[in-house]
Amino acid sequence: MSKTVVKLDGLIKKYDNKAVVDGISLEIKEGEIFGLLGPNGAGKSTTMNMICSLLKPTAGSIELFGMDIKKENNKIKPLIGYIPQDLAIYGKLKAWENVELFTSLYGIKGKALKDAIDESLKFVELEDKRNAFAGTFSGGMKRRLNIACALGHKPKLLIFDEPTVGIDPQSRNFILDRIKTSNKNGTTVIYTSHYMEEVEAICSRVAIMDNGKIIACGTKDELKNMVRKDPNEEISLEQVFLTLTGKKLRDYVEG
Amino acid sequence: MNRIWIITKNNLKLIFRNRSMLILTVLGTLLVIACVANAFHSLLDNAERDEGFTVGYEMQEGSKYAPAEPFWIEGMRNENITVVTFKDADPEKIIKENDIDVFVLFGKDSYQLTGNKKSELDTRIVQYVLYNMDMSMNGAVGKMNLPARSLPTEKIAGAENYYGLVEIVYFMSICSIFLVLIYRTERKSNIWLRFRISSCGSTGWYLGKYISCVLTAWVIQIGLILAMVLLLFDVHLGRPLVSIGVLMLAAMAYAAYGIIFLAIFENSAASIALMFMTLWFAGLFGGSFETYMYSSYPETLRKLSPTYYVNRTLVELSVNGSSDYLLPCVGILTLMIVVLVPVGMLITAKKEEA
Repeated sequence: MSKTVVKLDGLIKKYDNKAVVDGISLEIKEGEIFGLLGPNGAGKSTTMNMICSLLKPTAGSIELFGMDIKKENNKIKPLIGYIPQDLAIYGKLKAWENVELFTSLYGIKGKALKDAIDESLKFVELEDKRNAFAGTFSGGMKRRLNIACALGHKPKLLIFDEPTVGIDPQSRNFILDRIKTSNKNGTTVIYTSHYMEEVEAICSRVAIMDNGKIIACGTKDELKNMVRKDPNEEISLEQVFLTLTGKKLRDYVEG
Repeated sequence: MNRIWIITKNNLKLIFRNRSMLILTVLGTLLVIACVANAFHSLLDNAERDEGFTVGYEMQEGSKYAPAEPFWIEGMRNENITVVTFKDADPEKIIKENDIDVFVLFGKDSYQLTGNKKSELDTRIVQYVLYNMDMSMNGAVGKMNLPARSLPTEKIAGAENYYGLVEIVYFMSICSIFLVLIYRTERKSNIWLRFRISSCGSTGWYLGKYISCVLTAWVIQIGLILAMVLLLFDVHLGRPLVSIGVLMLAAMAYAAYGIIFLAIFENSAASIALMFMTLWFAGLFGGSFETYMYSSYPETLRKLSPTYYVNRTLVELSVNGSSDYLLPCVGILTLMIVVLVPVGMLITAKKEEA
């Protein structure tokens, strides 16, 4: 039986007494590509920020790799790789310098650091551009470098926050392929996106959040069966999502 | 420690790749020194004047000052003041045409002094000599004492020396501007999230910024700009090691001060505006734009500005080789570092939690 990599138990995050994440419980197993879906303001980013220890929960507990995030945060941090939605790279640094910086923050140095830089750049097929400044890259190249920066320290859990926003189909396919490859290599993945076809293509299990709660969680087929009226009906994940969360526009203001 | 060095090294790379900012800092400092030194040249150089000057005189027939003439000439010459005798002279014409700084016309019972605005101090010296001559003649002419060089002329720095030193201090006070683009980039693209998720804490993140800012100020503002100023302008350090030590300490204090603004405000423009405003006033009261010797601001305001202590210490070290303000200056700068660095760390940590 696979080990539990992420375990959330009664997780709550409140701002000004308003629960943004409202008592969610969840388990993600080793080797999964887990999709976290939800409309804007559903609480996905807040949940991921708490998993990455960027935010402290108001209540509840988070265990990663069997360790309590509050007590053993320093042991947990090197096991996580986070790919933010924004391009969190320095345009004034060369490609290899970006990877070097974010890898060396985890205490990797010397030959191990050099090898990690080479491997990460090769993984995203940027080894030829290692000496080019990131500021000169196209959108897709920046996205790939953004991913490479989170791989150098060889994390066991990769968290992707909408990594394919604003790029061409070729780059998108390449990124999805790399996510599947790293998953095959043993990395557990948490993936959020508004592109349902991406989630459908790569995720083994999916949770749908709305108003701070998980309203559905399971394999793609399990979710589809939840809304399927006729057993032979072809249904997409997007239809499941819209049926469960509604078609009403979600205007969301941060803060 | 290793992580702090990694972040520092990265920030230094980013700072030194921002060439426009570095060129602007170097040229800005040199240009401001040249402009203000030129603007205040006559004021400070007249006050400082130490070399001899030329006095022309005419002794009219029957003047009561005639018996004292040999002593007057000898006394003036002993003081490195050149004395030239004239006959039927037109004082104003002589001053214009003959390179005479002051002219004295000894009449029967009185004398008349003529000088121009440029030779105001020289005229006052001669007037003081003549006053003493008058006094001496009431006693014994032969014992006349010429006190020209003992006049209470304050020893002050020349315009280039003064503004060369204080403008380096002023530009150093805004050294945290080197970090503005880094803060802006890290916030705009959420790079700071990567630092937070990694094993690097907020203290390491702050210190990486602080150390890189201080090192840049040392290299660019003390190493490069000061060297250029010493070469290009008439600037002297007096006691180079002490002066450079004060400048290094000032860079540490001002960097700690500036980073607080960058850490507090999300908006870079607001950070720069507020930081610049406070430092501009500190510079204004401290003698960056008009000399602290001839300041139109009250003593209390001046003494509230740390820049005043730094400026005064450096200028006095340059002119006198010592300064009573050295210890208070070092004390204030050290206090700034000791208080502001932990405050900066605290604000960074709080912002991280928010």
